[in-house]
Amino acid sequence: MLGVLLKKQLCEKLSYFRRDKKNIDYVGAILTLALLALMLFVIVEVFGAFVEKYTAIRMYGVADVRARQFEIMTLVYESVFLIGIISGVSMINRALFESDDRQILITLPVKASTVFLSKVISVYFKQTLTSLIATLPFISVFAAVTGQGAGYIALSVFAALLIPFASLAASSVLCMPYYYIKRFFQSKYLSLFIVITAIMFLLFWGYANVLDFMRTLMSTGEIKFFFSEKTMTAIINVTDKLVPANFIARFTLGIEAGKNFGILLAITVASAVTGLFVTSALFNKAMKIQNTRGGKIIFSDGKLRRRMSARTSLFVKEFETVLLTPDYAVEYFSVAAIMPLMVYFCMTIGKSLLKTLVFVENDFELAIFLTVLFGALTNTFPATNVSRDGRAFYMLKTLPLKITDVLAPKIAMNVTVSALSAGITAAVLAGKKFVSVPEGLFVFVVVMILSVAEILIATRKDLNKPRFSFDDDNVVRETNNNVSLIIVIGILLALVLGGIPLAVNVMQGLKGKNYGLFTYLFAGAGAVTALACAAAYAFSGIRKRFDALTEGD
Amino acid sequence: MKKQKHERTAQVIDGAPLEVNGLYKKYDKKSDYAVKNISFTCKRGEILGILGANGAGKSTTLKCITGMIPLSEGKITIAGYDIEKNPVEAKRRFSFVTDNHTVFQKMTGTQYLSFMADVYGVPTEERQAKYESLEKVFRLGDSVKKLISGYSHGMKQKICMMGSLMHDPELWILDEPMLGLDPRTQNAVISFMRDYVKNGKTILFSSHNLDIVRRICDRTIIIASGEIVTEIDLKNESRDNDEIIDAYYDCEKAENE
Repeated sequence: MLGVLLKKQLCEKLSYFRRDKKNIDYVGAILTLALLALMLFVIVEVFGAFVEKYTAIRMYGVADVRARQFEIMTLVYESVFLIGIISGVSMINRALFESDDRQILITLPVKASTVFLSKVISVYFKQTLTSLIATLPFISVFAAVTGQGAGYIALSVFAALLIPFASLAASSVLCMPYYYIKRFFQSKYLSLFIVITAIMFLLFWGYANVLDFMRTLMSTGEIKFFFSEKTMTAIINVTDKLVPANFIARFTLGIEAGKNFGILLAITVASAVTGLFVTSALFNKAMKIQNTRGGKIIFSDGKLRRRMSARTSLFVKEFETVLLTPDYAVEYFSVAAIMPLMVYFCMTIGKSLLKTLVFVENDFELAIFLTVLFGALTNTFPATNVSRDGRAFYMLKTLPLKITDVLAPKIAMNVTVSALSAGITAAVLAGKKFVSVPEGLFVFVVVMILSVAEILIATRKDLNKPRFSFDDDNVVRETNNNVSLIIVIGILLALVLGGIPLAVNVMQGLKGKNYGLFTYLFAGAGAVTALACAAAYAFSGIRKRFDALTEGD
Repeated sequence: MKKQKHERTAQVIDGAPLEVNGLYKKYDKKSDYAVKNISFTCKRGEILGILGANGAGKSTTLKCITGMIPLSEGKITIAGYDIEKNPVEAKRRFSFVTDNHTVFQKMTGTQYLSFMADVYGVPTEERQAKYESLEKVFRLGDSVKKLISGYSHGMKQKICMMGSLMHDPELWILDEPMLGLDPRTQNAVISFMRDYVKNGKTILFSSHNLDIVRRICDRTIIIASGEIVTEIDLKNESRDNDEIIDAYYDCEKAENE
């Protein structure tokens, strides 16, 4: 039976390659490859330099290269292990409780443990691939810098295959508590939104601080003083206890290889058996709970609300749909909410980098560049403006509404969210004295003009080819060409309207000249031109497309 | 201007609830016609059924009538308003219940009913009473306070019907209305439909269920391969008359041959 289930999953995976070529997200694939290339470049440059400096550190006047190598690789493997656990919990949870086939499988004469095993095997292969992609660049750079041989690389690849066993075992144990926590929050929409936004805020805050700290260490040369004897003792103590990464690092570096391999194997087998046992025991119960749960009463009075105009009612509907759908609330409201923080931290780091590298300050141009760039992240959401309604969009066509009545409330919601996000961002930039108040106002106006342009393009693209969800919860989860396209447009607009004035001002700044007026003219005219082009694209033949939109499109 | 508006109103009162003239529809240039030369009229105060096998063209006809898809050829007027030239005015005069309960899943039942009342401009003071009268027929109970995404198929069908009736439409159009409804609700809906047309309203619905059509309709048209093949008046006939069954199976047989 396990073979049958695995074959079914393989067929489903292969169906991806048989789909309509028009549905393949080429832009997204290119964007992902570009991001991967950028990450690889950073790993090779930054990690290579770090390994070189770190392995040369002397404690009490003595250099212990082997010990430093062990510490670095322990931290690398432990990071991959922890990321594997987090993604594993989410993947197992999705495979068991959110997949389309669970309603069918529970009615078939298949043991819960078999279903679970088939899902975990599929997740294991995904994790192995991720683990290999994540560790290989580090292993290769480490081997090149420290002069390790082919044997080291072979052992490290073998170890990378073992990490998912250990991380998935831990994920299996954690996936049930995660499931119950998720269920608890499922109908507490506002709390969930606040909690996730707060977590995202903290994660980004932590990430930005680490990045800033590393930049300070590298650029000022303080790295030599940071790794004092006290810090090094702490690192040695921590890495010695980081299971299972410490055993993997020792095994691959040939430190008591046989013994460490044995321990590693024992840990993997023991945790795999425990994970399998715990989850199989709880799986069936959880499945039945999920199938019998009823909807929660969320507005208890049961009264119909006061009359609103059709457009206001549709506007309210858009907000309610996003707020009552956790995926959407996080994707849209949380991203919009943390945008000011993202711009603020990048502004701090960017300003400092410009000052250190070229000795000039061009905060105004940098602010335009960063706000336009991060604003595009928020504006990817309108790429589901039509798809979010699902098949109910067809029902809207039978109501006494004009196309403007249907689309204007969606665009109005997008503009409201963008305005709040960009407004707070501009206020933070002005409040923190990165820009003056008139400059902040200009940044806000430019970003809003470009946001409207991006929203119009995204909405029209979605109207041209909506992607309705066929899941029970009607949530659009597929990232598609439209989302990728808006990101690319956002990057290009940021590069052109923020990047060119920044480059011009940096070059003129070196000559002691100020080209502030150029920034106003170039960015302002560029934004208005972009909006005009977007509007021409969005409104051309829109009525015809709306009327023709039908099932099967 | 005011006079023109008045004349328009007078025309509305005189116009038939629905007139379909020479309707043709093909989904793309290469495909065959899904419906061909469909013409019929709905009279005020009647229940008209469109009967046909799966894929006969019932849903396509209804989608054209309701403006969900554009026509390839022909003309459709609702209370005198052309569905293509004056869609908003035409759509104010009917409401449509689809066969796959297309409804906003992330609304509660009350939010959905309020939304539909807003779209059709139902005054605040009338909507609660309207909801309570519909609740007596459809009996959603406390579920109306819950998110629609958690509803069963039958409950979704009920909320769709309730939403479509919030403004007492002149013409109520339904595609396979009894799908997913329990027998008690089916009976309640049937008697509701009979009462509804007594007040001068009109109902058009499609079905492939012969028994339902025979029990409810005053008149039925049978569609096969996208064309109207026959029309049967059931008002003056005995409800036990087998003419409709014979006609239906004759069409199906001819279609298969």
